[in-house]
Amino acid sequence: MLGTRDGRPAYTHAVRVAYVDTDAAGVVHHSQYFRYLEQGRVELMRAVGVDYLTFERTRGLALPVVEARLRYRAPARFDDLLALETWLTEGSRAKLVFASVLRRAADDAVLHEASVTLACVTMPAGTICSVPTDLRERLGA
Amino acid sequence: MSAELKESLRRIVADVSEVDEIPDDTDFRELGIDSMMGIEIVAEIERTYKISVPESELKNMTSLTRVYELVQTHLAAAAG
Repeated sequence: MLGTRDGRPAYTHAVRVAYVDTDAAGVVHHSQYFRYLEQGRVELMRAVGVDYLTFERTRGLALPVVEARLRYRAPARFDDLLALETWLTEGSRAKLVFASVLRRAADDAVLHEASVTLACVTMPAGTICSVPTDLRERLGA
Repeated sequence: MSAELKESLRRIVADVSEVDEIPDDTDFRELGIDSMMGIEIVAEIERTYKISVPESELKNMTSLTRVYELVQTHLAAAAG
């Protein structure tokens, strides 16, 4: 679902916790949240008209993660329905910074807050380059 | 004017990179300024001097002196 945050596009992506996402303690393993964050960014881009696969293939560019911060607040468990809201907080020629908040749909409890920074590189060389202007604009930078 | 420009650029590089000392000819990598930070520096220079640095020139901005030379060239071109 596409909405706005601080005047910028924000996408809320629904995630149903799979059994395979959980660990021996019965909660979602901390590493899984980074998968959710990636899904959230990809869906935000799709919602603003950028299919990431097409972006990579047609432009020869990729957006690697260069920094990620995640504050865990409460655990998620198997079969929980989660709502991950993702939006751009900073967009420049050098980087895109996305914020995310993960909530449990049943009670709206905040489970984590995250910030992920992406750079832009040419493929396959991996040389850093400018984030395309049209991508920044679509994301509200 | 040239000295002022160089000092202004030194401040921009120092502010963006958070590196206190920016010698003229030391390679940015030796100062811990990576390529992503380099693009941030270029973006700030573009904003400050209202110039546009092409993608192909990013790789040449490897030291304060190189940055200074490139900015000088762009400012001269802009002035006609």
